[in-house]
Amino acid sequence: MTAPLIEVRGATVLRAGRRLLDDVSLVGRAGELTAVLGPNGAGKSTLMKLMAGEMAPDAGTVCIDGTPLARLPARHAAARRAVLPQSSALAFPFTVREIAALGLEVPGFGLSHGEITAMIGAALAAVDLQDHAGRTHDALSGGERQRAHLARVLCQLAAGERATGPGILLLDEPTAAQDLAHQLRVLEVARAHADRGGAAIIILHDLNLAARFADRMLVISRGQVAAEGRPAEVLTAEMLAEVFGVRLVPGTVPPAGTPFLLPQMAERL
Amino acid sequence: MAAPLASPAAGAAGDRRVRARLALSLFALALVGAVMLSVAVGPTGIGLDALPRAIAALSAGDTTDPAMLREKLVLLDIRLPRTVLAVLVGGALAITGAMMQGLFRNPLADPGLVGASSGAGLAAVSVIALGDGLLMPLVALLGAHALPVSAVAGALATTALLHVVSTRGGRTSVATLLLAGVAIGALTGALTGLIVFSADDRELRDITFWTMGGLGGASWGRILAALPFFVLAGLAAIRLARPLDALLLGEAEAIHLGVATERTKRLAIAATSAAVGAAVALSGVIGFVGIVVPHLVRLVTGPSHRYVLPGSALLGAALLPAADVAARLLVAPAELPIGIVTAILGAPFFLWLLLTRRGGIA
Repeated sequence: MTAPLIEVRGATVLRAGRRLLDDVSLVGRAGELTAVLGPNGAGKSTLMKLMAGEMAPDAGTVCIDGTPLARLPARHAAARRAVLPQSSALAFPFTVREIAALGLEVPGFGLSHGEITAMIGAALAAVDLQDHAGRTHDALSGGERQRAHLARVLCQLAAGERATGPGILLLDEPTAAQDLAHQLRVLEVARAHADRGGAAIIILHDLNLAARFADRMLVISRGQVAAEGRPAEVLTAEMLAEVFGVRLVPGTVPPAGTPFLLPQMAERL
Repeated sequence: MAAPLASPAAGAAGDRRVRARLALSLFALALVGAVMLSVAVGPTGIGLDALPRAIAALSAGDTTDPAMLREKLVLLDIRLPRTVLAVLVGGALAITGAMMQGLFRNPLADPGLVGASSGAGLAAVSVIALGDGLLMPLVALLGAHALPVSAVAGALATTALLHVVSTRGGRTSVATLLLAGVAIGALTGALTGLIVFSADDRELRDITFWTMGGLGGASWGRILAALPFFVLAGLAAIRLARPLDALLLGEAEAIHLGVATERTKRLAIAATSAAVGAAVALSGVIGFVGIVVPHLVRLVTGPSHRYVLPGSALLGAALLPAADVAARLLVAPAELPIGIVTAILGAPFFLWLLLTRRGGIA
């Protein structure tokens, strides 16, 4: 097993007397795509914020390449991991190309003009915005905006990879605003990153998409880890009943036996 | 095939860098033009052609030719310092306006929001009205420097207070800063009003003229005294371009991009209060430059601070001497307070922008 690129160990987060996270651990290894699942308010985004370095845990540690994130200089962390929040507001009308280029603004990347152009071009193509590079942020649909920001994240990841090797991709509900084709596209991009030797950690609500693309799943419920493992191990009728309060027996898709859920068969408990 | 194929130039869609650089060159040309105009035009009728003679008079030192002396006085001791002052103040107001709009992610922000203008204004009005009473020791100590020094100190004091109020555990909340800025602005405004209310007629006239803004008090000594503040703000701007771009995405996103957000905020606020305090001290409160100029620049260059900050500095530095020429000529031989000119020209123009650009200008 490869060494973890990012590791959360025993993270606990307290806010106003509530335990948002309680002793949660998560390992993101090179080559792995990990889906973080769970009901609304379970603590998924809090876990994401810990890994992104936006907040520090009250107990436990977050390490990148074995070094505690708190001790990692901001620019070094920025070269190792890129983050797509649920939504990003932009007060001023950047074009799609300029948004993508913001991902290359990390100090110390030292890219040549040709590399910048190539990275932006590749990122825009990856998110299917290559024909919209000149449109401004305010003229984009919600899904297009999210993909423009994903292009920015991919640019940062590509530049970081050039400097320090494949890094960590953190996505918070990247498919929420996307149509079916672009849901697949976004997850294929994350899959490709993992297959290149990076780690991808993605918060998802669509359990079927998670089952199709993830190597591992982590289910969080009320701030605690409720289940963890390969999709077939995690997506069980018991877990669905306990965590989501839904009675539903997963089926499997041949040939690999990937689990799937049919909401038509579900009953709320 | 009807579909447009990717041409070599297709990579340039959405890339406004060439346009932005062209715009910066044009702003620089406009600055040169405005400076020449401002030095050349005045009620005495002495033009630019007299400049070589004036410089000769300066270097000769002991000329007795009264015409040459007069030209030297008008060009080098009156118009040139006034022009330099206009350039510095215009550039400072515009670049700090751009910084604040970026920092607050709000197109309506201006240097007044961090309390710098109102703090400097309160301090200056206090010195004008209480200089022969309560503040006598200060005026006696500092002499002619009492007004500028108090204004810079006032700007720094209000901004520091604002920063303390809106910082918890080492993190500055931009929303709290904005709200506290409104509260502190109201307080300093009320205190200023109180002083104006109790002022006598002569003080009232001084205060009124000062609050309307003016470049008439320009002198090389006062410019040199304020220059360090402007230079500091300019140096800060160079360091702030990248982090401010990242901050436009949001604080969390800026952290993701490796930006030291707290240091960025402190630097932007300190640079703004220093530059605005110095500008207010030299020329009173001049409105609309700080808000209109960055918008104009952004329309041409796009919102990246790499271009908005230098573009605002150049265009602000060009616009204020031009507005000052108008202030000097419109009612010559008297002159209008420049704050009136910038507001009369700036406000309708701003409204016109808002009306004609359907999607808004932000």
